[in-house]
Amino acid sequence: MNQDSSPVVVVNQLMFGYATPMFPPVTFSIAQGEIVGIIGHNGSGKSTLLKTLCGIIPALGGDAVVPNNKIGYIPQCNEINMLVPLTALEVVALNLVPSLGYRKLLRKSHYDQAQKALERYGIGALRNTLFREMSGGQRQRVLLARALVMNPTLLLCDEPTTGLDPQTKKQLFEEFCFVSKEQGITIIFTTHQVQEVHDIATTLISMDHENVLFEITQSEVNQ
Amino acid sequence: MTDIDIGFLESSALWRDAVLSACLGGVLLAYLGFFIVTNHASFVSATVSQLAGLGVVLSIFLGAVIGVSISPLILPIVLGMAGATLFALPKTSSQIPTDAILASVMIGASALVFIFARYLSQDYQHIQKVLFGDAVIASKEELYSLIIVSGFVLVTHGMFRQRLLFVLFDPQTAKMRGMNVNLWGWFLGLSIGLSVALVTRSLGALPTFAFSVIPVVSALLIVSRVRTIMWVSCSVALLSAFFGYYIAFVQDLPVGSSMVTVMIVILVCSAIGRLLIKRWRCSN
Repeated sequence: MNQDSSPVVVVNQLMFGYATPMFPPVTFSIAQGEIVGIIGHNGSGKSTLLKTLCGIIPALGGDAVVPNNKIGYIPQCNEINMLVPLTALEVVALNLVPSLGYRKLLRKSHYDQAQKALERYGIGALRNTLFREMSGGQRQRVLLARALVMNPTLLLCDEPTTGLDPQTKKQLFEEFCFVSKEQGITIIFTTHQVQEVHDIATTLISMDHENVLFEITQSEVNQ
Repeated sequence: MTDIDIGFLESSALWRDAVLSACLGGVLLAYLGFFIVTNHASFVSATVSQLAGLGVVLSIFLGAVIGVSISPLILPIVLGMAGATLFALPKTSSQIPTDAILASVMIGASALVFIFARYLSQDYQHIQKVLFGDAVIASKEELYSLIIVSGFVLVTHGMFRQRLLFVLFDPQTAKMRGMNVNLWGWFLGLSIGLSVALVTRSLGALPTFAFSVIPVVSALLIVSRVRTIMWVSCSVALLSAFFGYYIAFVQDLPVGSSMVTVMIVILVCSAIGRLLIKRWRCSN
């Protein structure tokens, strides 16, 4: 992968999985502004790799370093508890809570910051709409705004296009490209659709059934 | 006012502490009920209240049969909190569903209550109170314990409510953002276990389970914002506690069952209200 500019992610001899490593140790680095697609079948370990990169699942060996540790994360929607009736504004603002001191609560300035993030992605008018009552595309935009409200250098997205129609997928990918080009944010996303990676990714990581991790650049994919 | 109302008011010294305990316990559980219901943990509450009930009966059993005197608050709290903490811990086995474990513990606790009750025929009133909530009177000790625990929950949840909501809504992202999700789950389990155990000691297992589920379900049917849900839920609990006790008093009915019946009536009204609101919205 791109080794020219300073890497945003450095993965060294990383072993990942829930109890036993799913693959042999993996080493790679990702440069600023890249869009990396992780592709593989269901159960191939895409989400596990993504969650290990952002620290949700502990590594079984080696390490994955994000130098300034500013990571935005978009989970799969089925991992979100839809019974909790939060509005779009609350969803975005709550991502700021861990940055506050232990006994501090969100203030008006934090909600203003969240509102600006929603407006940046064209959903400012939906601030008081319940997250669970939104369409799939609107939810992804809210989650994108939430992930980017804390100005990360790395954005990790777990199957962001699941359940989206082609038009909404296209819009989401346009947002990804905008974020990557204009703000220099590195994006890593998982998918099981090859076409999606062709559409947007500058780099591809392929995970197959034989437990081998491939690293292929976009130019190689096109060949 | 009718003679019955006058009789009820004149005997306020008799029921004041019991009604205060019921109102306080009901409101406390109705607030926590938001976290219980939205966390798919209704049966955690049922199991913890059954474990706390077992603790109460075990305390009586130890005193009456074995001659070991223990404060009636200790065993319900220990068993209740142990149960709540156990179920707040991360799941280690995907082969056995949590609800199956909960059901097993609940059935086991219920069976043990009946076995110990077999030896306590002279304490039948106590057992009835534990199982069905026939709390006609409440001790000062119970009331003060509830006030202290309510204060603890009010202050700590006031300070940490946004963190709790974040962990409840999206635990993966909360973990990624550096929050100790297990610790917050344990804290929530501690709040629920302590509250359920104390309210069970005071009101009995049946109304305790009902207060932790029915008011918030009523609220979820008619309102949709977190804060409003909590207010409506607490109001439903307050009304159910007071009018449940009043109806039990004037009609000579079991207190716990009367409170649950009032809650169910409000739940049905909420469901009808929701239907009417939907129809009205469709017609406009």
